[in-house]
Amino acid sequence: MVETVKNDLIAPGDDYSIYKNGIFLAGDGPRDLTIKDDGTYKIIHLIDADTKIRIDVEAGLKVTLFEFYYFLGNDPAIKIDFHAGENSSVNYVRFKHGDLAGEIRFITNTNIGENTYINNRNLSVLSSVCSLVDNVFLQSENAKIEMLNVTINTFGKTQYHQYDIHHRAPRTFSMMNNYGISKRRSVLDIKSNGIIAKGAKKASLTQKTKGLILGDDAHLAANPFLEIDEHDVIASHGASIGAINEDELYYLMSRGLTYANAEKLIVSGFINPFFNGLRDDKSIDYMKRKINQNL
Amino acid sequence: MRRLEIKNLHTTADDFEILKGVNLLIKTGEVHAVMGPNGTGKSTLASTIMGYYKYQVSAGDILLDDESILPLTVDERSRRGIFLAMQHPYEISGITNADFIKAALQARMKEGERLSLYRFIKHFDRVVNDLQMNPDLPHRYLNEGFSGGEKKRNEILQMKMLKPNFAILDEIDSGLDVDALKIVGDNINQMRGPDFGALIITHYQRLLDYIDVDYVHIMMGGRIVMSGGTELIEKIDKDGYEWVKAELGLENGDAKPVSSVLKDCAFKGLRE
Repeated sequence: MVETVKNDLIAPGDDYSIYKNGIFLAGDGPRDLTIKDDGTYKIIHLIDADTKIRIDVEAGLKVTLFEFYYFLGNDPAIKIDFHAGENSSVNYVRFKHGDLAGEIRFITNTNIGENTYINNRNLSVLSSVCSLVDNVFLQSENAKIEMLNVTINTFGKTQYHQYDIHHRAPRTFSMMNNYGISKRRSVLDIKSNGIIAKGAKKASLTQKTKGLILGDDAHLAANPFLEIDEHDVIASHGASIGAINEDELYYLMSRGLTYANAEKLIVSGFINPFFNGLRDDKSIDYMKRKINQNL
Repeated sequence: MRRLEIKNLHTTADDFEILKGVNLLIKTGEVHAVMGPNGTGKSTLASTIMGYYKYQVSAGDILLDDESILPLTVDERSRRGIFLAMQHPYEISGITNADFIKAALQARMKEGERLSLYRFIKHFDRVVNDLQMNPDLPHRYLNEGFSGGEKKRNEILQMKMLKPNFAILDEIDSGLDVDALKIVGDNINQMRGPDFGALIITHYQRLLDYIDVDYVHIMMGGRIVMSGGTELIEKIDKDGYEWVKAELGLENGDAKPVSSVLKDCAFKGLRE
């Protein structure tokens, strides 16, 4: 399995670490999941049991993290605590993938320090029933997060994704964009909560959810929610769900693409924002391959 | 030489008949223009040939090399050599122009064949240059943020890349300034040859100043009511379409079709 993972994801010169259920297995990257230097890191998790993981990025760093979760079975419950120290900047790309049936429960708590910025992209391509909950805590002044979550549910399972962003300090900023695709009798429920606590003056919160339903028998629900306990803030949310535009399909087919290929191209366009600006060919190729296999 | 023949074509949308017996024959090597007032079915004709899902053929046929294309899907018609430059090209976010054309070219290749990326890029860049479009076009999303004129030039770009046998250009001149008209006209003329035929739908003479047209047809009331040579274009530009109604005894453009023979371009339509 380690060799498969390395072939899939690791290019010569990559700084990487492979863990199984939170225990270090291989690689020359940080063993204790504490990032102490600027740079790009690949962290790969092989999961087949309940797991708790803590990841720390020390203060003042500029870091890119590619984190890959392979779910291998046994209905795991996973809890991740991620801490980004003050004055740091983190590009955090997280990919969750699993081919097996069963059930996955996944909770992430992300704590963002003062003057710290996180660009967080989450891609889930899972064939299991799952419940994924992402809590983000903007604990200190000028903590910022931009979050882009893409979920592809095409195996006829019920999946529940919840994203909560808590503004707990003044001048905190969050922007969340969710993209969901549901196909083949799948049920996808996306809940996004924006919470602005008392005292979080000048907080800015934006949330959008876009859903694409492929076929008559799939289901997708978007539930945005705002809880605002402070006056001087900016907050907005929106959601749209629909099928592929027939006229767009017609346009692509009028250039010779079959219905299936036209649909694939439109779907790839729908989730393309996830890959904008990413700079690791091996990781991108791998993620796109898994997406194509599942559509 | 290939033939695209429209035979007594009737088309409906939501049970409302729009085309009421269109007859037309286009061969590769020929350029035809279809003109007519608004609402007479010109764009419906173009979309019906392409197989647009909102239109139903209620009678008649469309033959490509004497074989009906009515059973064919939109993509099958495209791969058989038909291209429609749309009046209102769609914007599709997230798909780059380059990826779109690559997918369209790959769709035309045999099983197992692969598009040469190097040749594709060279060809694409050359066509972008021919149409004097922005060099960043390949990387921009399909028609997203394009002006009306850019969208129309992008349709011509796609046509040049895909090299169809029959191109139907639905009001390709709308949104084009004088310079862009000339560029588009030149590019269409460059495609003329024994393997290329075109059907140009337009209201105005101006595009036809730049394109060498062989036959001109006037559509009214869902039919082609008059056919002739390029002198028809000048007359329409000078006198509009009322004279056509008067000459043919049409009321509100809705009457039986008649044939018209003008100058050296003998062309007969069928009576109902």
